[in-house]
Amino acid sequence: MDLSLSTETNGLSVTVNAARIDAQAALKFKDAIHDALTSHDASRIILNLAQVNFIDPSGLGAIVSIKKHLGSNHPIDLCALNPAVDKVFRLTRMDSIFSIHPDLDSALRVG
Amino acid sequence: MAKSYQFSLATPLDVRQSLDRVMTDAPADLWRRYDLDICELVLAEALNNIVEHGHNPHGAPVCVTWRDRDRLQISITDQGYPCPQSVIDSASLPNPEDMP
Repeated sequence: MDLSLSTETNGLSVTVNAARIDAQAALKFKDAIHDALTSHDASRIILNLAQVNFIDPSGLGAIVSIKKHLGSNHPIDLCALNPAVDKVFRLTRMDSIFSIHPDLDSALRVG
Repeated sequence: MAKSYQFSLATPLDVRQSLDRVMTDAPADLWRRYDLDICELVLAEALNNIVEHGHNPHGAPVCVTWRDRDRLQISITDQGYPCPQSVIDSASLPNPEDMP
């Protein structure tokens, strides 16, 4: 899966260049994130989901498993959620375990 | 209004394409009156489960039908074997207090 990485002053921003994180993409997404994190030393990750318009439970599971893998010393924040993606996080109450920012700029202003 | 589809589902990619077909076909009026984002989410999980756990005989069609009366009804029928009763009897649900 195609990711764009950018090292910012307070974290590594990871932009997902795909419209869907579903069962077809979940494993590739997880692998791509792990590859990105082994080549970039980041204390904080900001996952930019602006281009993603659908996340299914497999995709959600992949994001949660990355968070678990990183542990509390390397927080992963989310930003720029489309309405349909935002709904998934609220419906599953995952909005209570992730910090969600309206866009990348506001994510970079905090933390 | 109602619409019915038959899909051959063997891989997650088949699920993605089938969902795309159903959602692209859905008339604008349906999008206005129902939360189809949530419908797509539920339908995705049901179809993924058929691929992953359904034991659907190879090539057997999966039928997806939606009906719009006073509410939106979606039915999904596969040709897989029924879940053994013993699996249901021994299953347990997680404690809601332990969930986020």
